[in-house]
Amino acid sequence: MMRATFYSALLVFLVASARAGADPAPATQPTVDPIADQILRQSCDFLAQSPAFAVHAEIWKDAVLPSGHKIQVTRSVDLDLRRPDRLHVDARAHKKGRSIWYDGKTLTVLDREKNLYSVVDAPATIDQTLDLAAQTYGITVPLEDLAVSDPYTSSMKNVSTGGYFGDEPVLGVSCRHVGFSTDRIDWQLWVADGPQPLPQKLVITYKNEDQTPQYTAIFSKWNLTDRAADLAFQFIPPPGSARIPLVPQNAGGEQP
Amino acid sequence: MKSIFKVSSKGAQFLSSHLPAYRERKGSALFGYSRMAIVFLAFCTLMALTPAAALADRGQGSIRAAARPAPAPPPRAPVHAAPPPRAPAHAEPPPRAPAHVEPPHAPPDVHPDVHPGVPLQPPPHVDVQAHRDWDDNDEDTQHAGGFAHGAPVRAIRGQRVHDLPHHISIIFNNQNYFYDDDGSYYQQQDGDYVVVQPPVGAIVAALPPGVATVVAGPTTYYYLDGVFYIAQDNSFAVVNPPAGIVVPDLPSGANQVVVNGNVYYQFNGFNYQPSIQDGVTVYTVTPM
Repeated sequence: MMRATFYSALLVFLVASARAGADPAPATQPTVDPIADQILRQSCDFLAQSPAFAVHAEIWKDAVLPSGHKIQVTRSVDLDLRRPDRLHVDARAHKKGRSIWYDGKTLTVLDREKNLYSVVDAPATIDQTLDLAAQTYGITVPLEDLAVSDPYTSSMKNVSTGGYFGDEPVLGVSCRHVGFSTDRIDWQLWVADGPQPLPQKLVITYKNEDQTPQYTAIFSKWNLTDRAADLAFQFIPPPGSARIPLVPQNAGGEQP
Repeated sequence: MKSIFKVSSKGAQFLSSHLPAYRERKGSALFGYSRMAIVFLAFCTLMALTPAAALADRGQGSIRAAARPAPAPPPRAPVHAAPPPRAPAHAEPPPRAPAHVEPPHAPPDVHPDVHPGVPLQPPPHVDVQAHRDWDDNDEDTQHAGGFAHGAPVRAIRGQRVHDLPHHISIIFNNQNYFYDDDGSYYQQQDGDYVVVQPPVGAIVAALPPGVATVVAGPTTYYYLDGVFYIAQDNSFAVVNPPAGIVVPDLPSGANQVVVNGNVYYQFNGFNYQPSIQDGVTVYTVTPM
């Protein structure tokens, strides 16, 4: 009797193993509070349906030093976009800064401190260009989660759980606080409670990394009017700047 | 009896013929619990053996980036700041020159200036940053040794000072050099001290703060402001860079030139060609 039961269990194990090997998707369905899902979807849909917008973000990033000391560094980011094919990002830290222009044809990256820039051909949409930047050139464009054409699908990828944690103000704006979890990060979003459900704050926790560093962004100066002229998305080389190559990942000059 | 699981015909026959009698003897509940426990254990084993998605971390500040698959490992070695091993407290304390210049040594001409019994710090191993943004190097903390050591104000090559900072003495080819705590080298000129490029072959006991670790082929180099070191016999030797090595910063005093439309920076007999790799500006070093 026990032998037969053992065979039964073994068979279950083998079948389940084969299924697990063929399908790496999570075995369980995401457990997301419907209210949290609705809040996120409303905000993402609002963003996706905005043909153009600009936003300013103050960003705090935890940095874990080789000594083990965890500190926080700050920067500010300005994002300007017009769907589907115009994007401009300025990121500024202390005395330094980098910028990106995408004008529907080319992607330009400027190192403001060194006054050096690179230009490469770009695909037809913001989404494709963000993927090109990340996958080909190793560049994660700041605030890309806001810039994609379908923020909901993009951000809910790999989410396993999500919840609604009540209403809280962010810099005086009444917000609805939601949080989601994947196997690598926990992320929280504060969405304005009103006719314009715009993100006001984002916190990402890298829970698998040493000292679980966090990234915090406070969004402000939302502008939903299509105010930026085409010129704003076109790169004009600063005086004295020089063009240098943008080297794809894994092709950057084999070290001797 | 109708078996839940399809097993071998022999097993099914065994179950069908023995199950009623077994239930009579042990009770059906006990049998059910035993089988359930074994099946449960099998599932637990399955869960334990199922590998978690192993994705390399990269792209801080983006939910989208966290969902991207890891890229293939790059063929080139990473360039990253190493924690600065500080010089052990064996430097010669007096500030003025004549007293620091060590008397002429017998060969060997190059000496590490290591005091007996002073332990040397080997270069520590530092993992590449788990995630990296295109502007991660924009923080000063990423440079020059970071928070724990402050951000040293390094002397610029050619700079002339009247008093030497805290330093140790190096004699190389019968010439005196003075190596300060921030990794600058000085020589005495007309009663003052001038910041100079160290000679290839000079040996120091400890790396200066803020060196970047650059692996090229089988060799690990330590780079700071146009000076390359390799570990050598519990010390660090100044060497020429191998052609093609990629460094994160330009040496101070490098001159920009444009050749056939390409921008280079020239320093100490080498070209530093800038490019943007992984979103940050780096420099590929080749001989002029």
